[in-house]
Amino acid sequence: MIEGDAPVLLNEATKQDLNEVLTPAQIARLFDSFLLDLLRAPEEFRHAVETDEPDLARRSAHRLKGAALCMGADAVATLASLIERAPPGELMSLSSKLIEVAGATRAICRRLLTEDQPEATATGSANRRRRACGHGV
Amino acid sequence: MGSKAVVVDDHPMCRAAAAMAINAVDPEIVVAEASSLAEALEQACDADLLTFDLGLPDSSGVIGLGTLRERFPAASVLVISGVTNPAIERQIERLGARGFLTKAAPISEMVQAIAAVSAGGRWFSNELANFGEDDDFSRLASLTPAQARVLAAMETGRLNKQIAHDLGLSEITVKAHVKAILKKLSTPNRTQAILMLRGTRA
Repeated sequence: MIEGDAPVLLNEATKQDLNEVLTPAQIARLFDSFLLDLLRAPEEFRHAVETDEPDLARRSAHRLKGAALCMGADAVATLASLIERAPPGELMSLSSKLIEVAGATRAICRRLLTEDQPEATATGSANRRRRACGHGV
Repeated sequence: MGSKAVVVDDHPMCRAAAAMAINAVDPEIVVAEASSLAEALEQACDADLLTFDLGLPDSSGVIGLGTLRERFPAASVLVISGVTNPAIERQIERLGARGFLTKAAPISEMVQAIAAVSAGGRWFSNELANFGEDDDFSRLASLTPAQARVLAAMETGRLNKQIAHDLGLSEITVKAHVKAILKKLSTPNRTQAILMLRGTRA
């Protein structure tokens, strides 16, 4: 992440670290699982908010935060952390934001999975990283 | 490293990542997975290593860790959590875990932490050394696992008699636990004790 900027959608350092420790198949498995979570968790969260179940909503956000931290999805993790502490009255507006940020993160993850070129993303300047990984909305 | 590890986390992806990190340390180790404290208690009987997430469907905070440590004192426990709070880390240490790692840590660090803990070492942050002794977190960490369970039951609004029934204890024992809890936490009544517990989660 670049100091002073909004949190990145996908932290390049995390991806690089995964490349150094795990096999491509293992990384793909983690991203597949995370993609599913990025799709389901925001919808679960929204449903919980709409049905006036703030504890369930926060629990959903907490789970998503854990996965996002693990995968270096900084923008989602930051937003989920904010949701965990937010008063019930703010959850609805944060729901729309979560869907938006999760959708953008999904797009980046899918692109990375499709490209699957770790060498190409492991180096480069900060500006290149910003283009490669995108930033939170 | 021993022959069996159990990864306890309610998120499948986080479980998978931890299992991969364990096998990166030792490909031979058998890794079982548990998505709740109840499953962990079933799976962990012959485990040498446990990785444990603090936020489980049936266990929130460090109480589950106390239960796990009490049941399986010989197993090395590495807590892997989304929480980043030195005070909670202190609680974790006092409950006998060998290490603590935030979920934001890179997987290479997770591998290092697992290797260290499995070898009998410790893995805590540097902030822990500078953490004070006299605060709410430290007082809560001083509770025994049984007292922590009683406090958790108190938080749900249960009466002593109901807590006794739930935990399979006599009412007199529960009363003794409540008295000891209030003394350790330096709180005048159970409401203040519950507020202290909730305050540490904020």
